Amino acid sequence: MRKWRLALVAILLLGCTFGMLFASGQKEPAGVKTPESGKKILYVAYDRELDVLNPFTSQMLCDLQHNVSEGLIITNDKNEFIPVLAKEIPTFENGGVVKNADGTYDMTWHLHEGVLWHDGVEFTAEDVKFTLDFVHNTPAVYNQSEYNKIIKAKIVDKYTIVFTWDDLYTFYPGIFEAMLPKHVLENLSWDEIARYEPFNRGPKFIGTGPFMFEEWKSGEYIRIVRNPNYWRGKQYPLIDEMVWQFIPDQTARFNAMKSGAYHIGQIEATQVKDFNVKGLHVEMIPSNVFYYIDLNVTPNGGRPELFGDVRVRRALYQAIDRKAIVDQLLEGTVQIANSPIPPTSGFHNPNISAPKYDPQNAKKLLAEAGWKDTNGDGILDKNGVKFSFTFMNRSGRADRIAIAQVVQAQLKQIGIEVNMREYEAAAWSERWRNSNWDAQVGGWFMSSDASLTNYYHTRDGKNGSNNFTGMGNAELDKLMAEADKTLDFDKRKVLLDKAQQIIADEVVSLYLYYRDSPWIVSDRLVNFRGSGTNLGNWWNAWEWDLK
Amino acid sequence: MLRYVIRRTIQMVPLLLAISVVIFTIIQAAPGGPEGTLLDRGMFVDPAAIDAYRARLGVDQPIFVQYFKWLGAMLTGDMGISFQTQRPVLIMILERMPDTLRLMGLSFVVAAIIAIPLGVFSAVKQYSTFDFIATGASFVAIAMPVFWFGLMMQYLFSVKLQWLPVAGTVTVGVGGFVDQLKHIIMPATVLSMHSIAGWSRYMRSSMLGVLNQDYIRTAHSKGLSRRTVISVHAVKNASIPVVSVMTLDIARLFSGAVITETIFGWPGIGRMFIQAMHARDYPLLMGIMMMGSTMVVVFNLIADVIYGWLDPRITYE
Amino acid sequence: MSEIMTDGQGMALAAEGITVKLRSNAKITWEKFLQHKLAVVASLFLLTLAALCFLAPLIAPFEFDAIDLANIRKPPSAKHLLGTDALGRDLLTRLLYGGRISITIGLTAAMLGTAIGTLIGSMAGYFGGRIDNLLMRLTDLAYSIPTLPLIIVISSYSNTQAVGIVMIIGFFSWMQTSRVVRGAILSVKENEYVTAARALGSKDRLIIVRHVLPNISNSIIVGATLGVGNAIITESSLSFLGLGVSPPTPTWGNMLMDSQATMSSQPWLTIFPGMAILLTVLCVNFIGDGLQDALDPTL
Repeated sequence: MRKWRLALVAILLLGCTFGMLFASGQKEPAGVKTPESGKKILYVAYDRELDVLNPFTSQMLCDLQHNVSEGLIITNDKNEFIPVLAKEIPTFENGGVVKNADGTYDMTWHLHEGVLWHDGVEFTAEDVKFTLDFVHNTPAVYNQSEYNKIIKAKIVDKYTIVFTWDDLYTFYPGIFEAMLPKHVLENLSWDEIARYEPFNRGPKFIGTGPFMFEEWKSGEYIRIVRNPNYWRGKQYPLIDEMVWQFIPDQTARFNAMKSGAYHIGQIEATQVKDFNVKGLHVEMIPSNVFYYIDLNVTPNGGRPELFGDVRVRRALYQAIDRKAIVDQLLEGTVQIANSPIPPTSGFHNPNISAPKYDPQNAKKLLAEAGWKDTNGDGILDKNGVKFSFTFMNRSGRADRIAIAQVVQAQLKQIGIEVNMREYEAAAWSERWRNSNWDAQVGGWFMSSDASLTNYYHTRDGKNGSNNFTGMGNAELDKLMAEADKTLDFDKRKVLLDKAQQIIADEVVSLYLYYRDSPWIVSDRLVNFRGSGTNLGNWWNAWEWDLK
Repeated sequence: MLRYVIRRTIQMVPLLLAISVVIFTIIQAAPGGPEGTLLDRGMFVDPAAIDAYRARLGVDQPIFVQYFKWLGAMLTGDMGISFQTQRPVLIMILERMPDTLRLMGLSFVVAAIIAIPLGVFSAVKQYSTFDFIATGASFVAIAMPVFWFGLMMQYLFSVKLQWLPVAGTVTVGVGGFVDQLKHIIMPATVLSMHSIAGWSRYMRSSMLGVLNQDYIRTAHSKGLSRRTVISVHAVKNASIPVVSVMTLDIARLFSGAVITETIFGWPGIGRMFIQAMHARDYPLLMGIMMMGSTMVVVFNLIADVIYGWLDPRITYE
Repeated sequence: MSEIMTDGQGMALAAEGITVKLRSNAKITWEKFLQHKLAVVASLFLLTLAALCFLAPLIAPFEFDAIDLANIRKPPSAKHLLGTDALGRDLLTRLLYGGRISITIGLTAAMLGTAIGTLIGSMAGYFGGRIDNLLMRLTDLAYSIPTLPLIIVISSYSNTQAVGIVMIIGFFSWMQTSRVVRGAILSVKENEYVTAARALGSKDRLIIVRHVLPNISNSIIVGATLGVGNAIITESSLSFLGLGVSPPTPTWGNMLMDSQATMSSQPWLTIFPGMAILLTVLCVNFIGDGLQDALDPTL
């Protein structure tokens, strides 16, 4: 009989655990402790740990780096390129870009004078040239091909440099988001720079930015401190120090933000409703990320026998209730998408006619295309082929897997069988790159110049390098190529509007939504103006303040 | 004895070689390669950059060539350069060691200090209320998934009560011993729970076996007090197998704890390992795994030696 | 890594401490087990739970993948007894279906691990000498290879992830069993009846199967029991690392993992699968405890 006590004890222990967890209300957070020194320290709950500080060889999205290493340009909260170390962005209108007799284009950058590297050496056109040379000689730079279009760089004087481009490109102002210090690295070979520990990990990682690298504690945090000689004025930056704590687990990061110990950090869309902590608020930052379902029509590896017919693709799109996904699954934190260019961009086309949710019509379209349930198993078939395909999911991406499950259920309603298969990160990436999959839920960062060529151009070895669906449309190819060389906004908009409509008509990519990133920001943080581009929220950190 | 140790040490060499071949094959057999990370930022990447990247890392060569290159370098003490960070693997591992050992070591010591007395008292007072509580608590601890327990703790102590910090080893800008202690409490508790539960069960079981043996009864009958019998004779004999098992567990200290480190943002080696796995950072993976394996093999030998040393009945052939 | 291993460690250790005694009469064992009330209750509870889970298609109120976006994360109600999850699916239904996978993984992985461990341990213990040394080094080898990369490799080659997970847990949980069995055999094999059997010319295989194994069955059975709980816990840890069973197929592990993000606002999502794991593993341990008492003639 005494053995019963054991059960009693176990149950009591359990009861205590849960009781403590969910009985009492939350204590009000004491907020971030002010250090005794009285310094203004900004604590960031960061979702990852960087690989290297060098923004050109890092394989991650860089945001921390741009507080230290400024470039010629950066993107602001309106998704525009703004000059940083350059006085202005060269255009035809301001005479910065001119056409040469041989069909090439000269682009003249005028740099700010008196800008100092963190070690006191002056920043000049030599550094710009050095940075370009580094990229030209380092294939690991992910967008090296863009820099390769610069065929010549000429230093006019200390503060002027002229690039000669082989042709017109809309990404002209979108590169050189960071600078390398020539005087620190010039004695090393290009390969040595890529491996140069003091630069990759600090303390030699210097820039011209408002903050200077101070410390990187492996696996735990990076500290950057105020640059006392910042070129925008000695009063800037207003914050003394930033501590970027690596908290990759999303629940842990959410707990971290709730504990009140951090000023800023990103959370998940499904956690927004649950966040209610005094002294902190949620900011929904419209981002350049668009979510979609890709159907693979590549002959080898894809499923052209299923998705080859545009009526079928249309039917699939019409069977997916995007409104329910956006309003209910994501609790209204995002916006329905009809095209790859998000509303944050001036090139977004709001008037696209995309297939509307209409499962009845979807069934009709499928029947027209010859897909009927002839054997009564509830799944459509045609010539003995079942309409059954597999979603390739990447493990750990909970948001995309949730969408895949919803779509799976919705397609079941019209007689389509969807299977799910999860792959670990690297395995997933390899299959995806090799077009060895049926369908997948994806998310891309649209670059600020809104060029579509890499994703949707017919893959011909030169263009469409990231078009893994096998989609191809001659008219679209022409439009996109032309748009890539049209610098005039109005003319380009017409081209891109058309291109977006054709992409929508092709329905190889079924657009779901544009993501608004939920960020938790301290009420004390002044001048925070979040930016949803790949260069991050820190573009104006020099004027941030902690009140 | 000495001959036994020498023989086992010599046997270690082929064993470690075999381990390295197996591990190398396994990580290379895993689909995907280090170039996968290039696409992780969710932006376009030039295919030429991907090929150049593979060539630069040398992963475009046949596996056996890569293996012998790695082995050759390893024999000269060079563990290679990490793909992701371009840093020497050895430095990366050594950098994470202090925090890994601090956390793992603390939880080990705490677990040992709690588990052994717990097991002894449970056995001595078998079926008492104390025994029931200890057994019940051990079972509950064993039955809880680590990440669940960790996140629950975090929610309770960091969010609700605001006693302890969520992540890291120290509050930058605050610092100090108390601050560091606050940071280590939760991860160490989560880690030691399982060990306490396991070891105390084992100690109890071992102790019960000893208490029922003849020589203990003889000691009783000779008029020795119960306390002396238990503390002098029984505990000593009962702890022999437990100590040897704990020695084996020391090897695990060096490998860190993936889940606990992830949840509490602890800069340990376990988290570095899983990142390296996702990025297919072969040199770093090999470095971490070979270090772990070597530790297991070495402490295995130490455990066997300690066992024989504590228990004179064992002879080494 | 170490957590995944440590989980097993503790329990396997407990199993190792069991002293080997002569085979008890089955009837006596059964009566002894019945006296261990807690173990009996635990067995009944577990049997009921398993029965409910395996009858899930018949008794579950909904389909396990019936998504209802209008009713996501609803607290328990009359319609949904345990509430709904992040996709509006009935939690009770998923708990029952999830139990099928989790319990199956637990049972098959434990059986696989025990089978391999018993085979290797008995061979090592019985033959001794070189074979023993070789097999023990093999055990060391298996013991020192981290599980995580292997899981990734195996799961990419097996079509059903559950099968891959069972294989992994099975292949990497036999080392303790093999050590225990080897130790037990070493002490049993010098017994008179084994010597007698050998003198009578019985084959080694027969001696092991007929005479030695039955006498060490108690340690094997107890070890296997604990292995079930271990495998269920490991499956949930794998889910945390994103290496578990793919949704929409529910397992207790991936349900627990999925609920973490909204743990504080929708506690039922995390409490119910958490309790299912906890109670099951708890019961399994109680049963192991009971079996240990029942099979040990000295108590």
